[in-house]
Amino acid sequence: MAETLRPREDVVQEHSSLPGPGSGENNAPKVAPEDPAKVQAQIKGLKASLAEGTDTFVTGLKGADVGEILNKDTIAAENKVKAEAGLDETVNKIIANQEKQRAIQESTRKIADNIAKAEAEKVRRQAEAVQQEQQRLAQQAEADRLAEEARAMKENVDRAKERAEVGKAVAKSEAEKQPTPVGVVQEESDIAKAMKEADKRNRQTVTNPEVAPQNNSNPLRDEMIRAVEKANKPKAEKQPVAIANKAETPNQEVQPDQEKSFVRRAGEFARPVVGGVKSRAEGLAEAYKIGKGWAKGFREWRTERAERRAQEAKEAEQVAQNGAKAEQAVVEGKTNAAESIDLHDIQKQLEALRSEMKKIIGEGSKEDIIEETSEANAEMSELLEERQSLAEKVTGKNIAEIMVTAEKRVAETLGDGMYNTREEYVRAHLSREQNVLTIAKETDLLNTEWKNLSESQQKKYGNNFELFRTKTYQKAQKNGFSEDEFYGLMAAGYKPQSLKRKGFLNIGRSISNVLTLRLGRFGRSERRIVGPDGKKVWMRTKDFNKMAELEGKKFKNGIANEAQNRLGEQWGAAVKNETEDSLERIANDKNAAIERAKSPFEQGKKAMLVEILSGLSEQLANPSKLKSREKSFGGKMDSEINAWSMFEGIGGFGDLNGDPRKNARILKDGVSELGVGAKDTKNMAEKGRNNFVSEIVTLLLKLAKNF
Amino acid sequence: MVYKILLNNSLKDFVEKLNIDQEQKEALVAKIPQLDKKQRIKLLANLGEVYMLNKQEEEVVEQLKGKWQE
Repeated sequence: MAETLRPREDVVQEHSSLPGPGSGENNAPKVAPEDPAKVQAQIKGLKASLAEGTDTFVTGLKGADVGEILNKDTIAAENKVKAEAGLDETVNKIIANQEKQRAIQESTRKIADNIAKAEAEKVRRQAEAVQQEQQRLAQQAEADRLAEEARAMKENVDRAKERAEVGKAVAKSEAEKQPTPVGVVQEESDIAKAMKEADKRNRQTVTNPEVAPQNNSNPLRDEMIRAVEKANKPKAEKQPVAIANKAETPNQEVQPDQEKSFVRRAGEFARPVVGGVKSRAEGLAEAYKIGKGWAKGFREWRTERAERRAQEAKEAEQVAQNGAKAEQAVVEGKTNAAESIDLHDIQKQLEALRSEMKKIIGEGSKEDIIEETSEANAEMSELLEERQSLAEKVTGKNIAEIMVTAEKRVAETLGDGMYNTREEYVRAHLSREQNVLTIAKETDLLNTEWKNLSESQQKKYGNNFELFRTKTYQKAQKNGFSEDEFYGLMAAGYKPQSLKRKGFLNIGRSISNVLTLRLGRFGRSERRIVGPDGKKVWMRTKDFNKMAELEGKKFKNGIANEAQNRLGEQWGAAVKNETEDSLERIANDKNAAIERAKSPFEQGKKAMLVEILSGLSEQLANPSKLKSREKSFGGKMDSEINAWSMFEGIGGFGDLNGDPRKNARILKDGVSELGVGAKDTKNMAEKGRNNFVSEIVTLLLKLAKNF
Repeated sequence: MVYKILLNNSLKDFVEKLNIDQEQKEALVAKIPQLDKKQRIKLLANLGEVYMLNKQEEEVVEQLKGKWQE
């Protein structure tokens, strides 16, 4: 009997291990009747064992009173045993008692199981509650963050609207003055600075591993974001940037690793609870400990986050207030006039910088050349007009006729006989000329940037300018710029600062800064650009796109106009040269003919004068007679009656001041002095000038002979 | 008797107005004060001949230009 009836400690030990229903404990050997006192002792031992066992595994748990439950049944069993003990009955009774005890044990085990299950369920519910709380807090945090961002977005929109109004006013003002890019440059406002700082802070937060989780894949968060986006869809369309940022920015509020770890651990402790008393108790204890520790950490983290947010909100509010004050000052701005003056000054500075830049990169010299050329052309035109006028006087030909002839000759030479007019020539060659000019201008623009690169940067391109050109344009294309827009912006002074940026050569990467434009990430509603003055300003994407489009068109149209002008000037210059040549040829031919005609007269006069002088030389006056000759011929000459007027005024009596009577008197007086009768002069005058002069000469010679 | 058209200044004026070389003009003008009446009348006749040549030359040039314009 003693061998089959195991000690109570063994039974307790066996029960304390909580074997399952199919375990060997169900096949316990039958117990022989024993002494009631011994049985009583066994019952006590069992009771103590049960109490100890249940107390052990429920350590730390709250709720069900295990002792009370145990007592309820065990006391009843004990009373029963006590009632039977005193009877000293048969072993069968003892056996029956033992069976009852076994039943009690079984019942106790079941109770313990139930308690364990209840506790497991309780812990599970606690874990679930903690998880739900965590989720709720995460949702609340996300909702707070989204609400905060929504407020920030709204403020940004309001500020952007204000800036847009200012930009419109500037654009309108500048458009009236000169065709400069719309809203290109403004002073960086406090709000822009605040946004910049906020952006920087955000980046730092995102990149800080201590703050941001490494794993941002969180279905719950994603679901929340989708829900918020769906709910705010109209706003999201207006503010794609902010939504995109939310999607891209790792959620600093949610701790996915912690969350995931907690769920996993909660599951881990829940499973062994069903398995056995020891592992279940340890599991529960561990789970509770973990949950408690995590909850503490979570509370601390939440407190810290709240404090941080409060601080950020305070700073943001301060910045916003400052920005609002600044914006208000600008808006009020002591009237629009003051604002216009400031912006106008900025614009003037810009123009000065552009001008200076153009000089530096060589455009200024071109302008000088163009100016000089224009002046030269003006002088040439003046000279040509003079020549044309002279030629017209000489040739009497209509200059228009000469030019028509010249244009025909130009059509044969410059136009290769294919184009008869300037318009035809320009139209036929416009495309070619445009291409030539485009390549030249683009090369100039890029060459300037190439020269600005350091040696090491140039080396990255293998010191190959063409490679630099190709890759630069590829970057521009990647950023969505057309060729015209890209070079148009450069021509307007937006320099590709980013060419100096690290990583530019990496074709595989998204280079967003080909120009001095910080294009920002895809979908942003605003981007920061660096204007020709080197100042960084924020500009809305659509405004920037309009500006790029405008500069692109200006660049393209400018080249088209220049090409057209150049071709027109080529044709005009050719016609001008041809006309001038024609006139010169005509004038030269005629002058040569005249010279040839004059030649015999000149020679005749020369021979005659030589003869006269030689005759006079032979008849030198006696110095003693000079005095009397001075007395005779040194008198004052009569302005009307002199030798010249005698010859010059004879022709028809009309050449001398148009007074026939006066002329007649002059003639009569002059000639009569020489012994020529007035009657003869009147007759001779009717014979014509040459004949009259000839006869006078004959008379004079005859007269001289008679002396 | 004073012959006004034979005065020094009258003859000088005539010489100056003729279309001849300046050197020739100066040589002629230099001689004029030394000339007596007969020489002056002969000079006047010779100057008249030069004058006539000038006029003929002008007429020829005008005729040439006129022909050129046709």
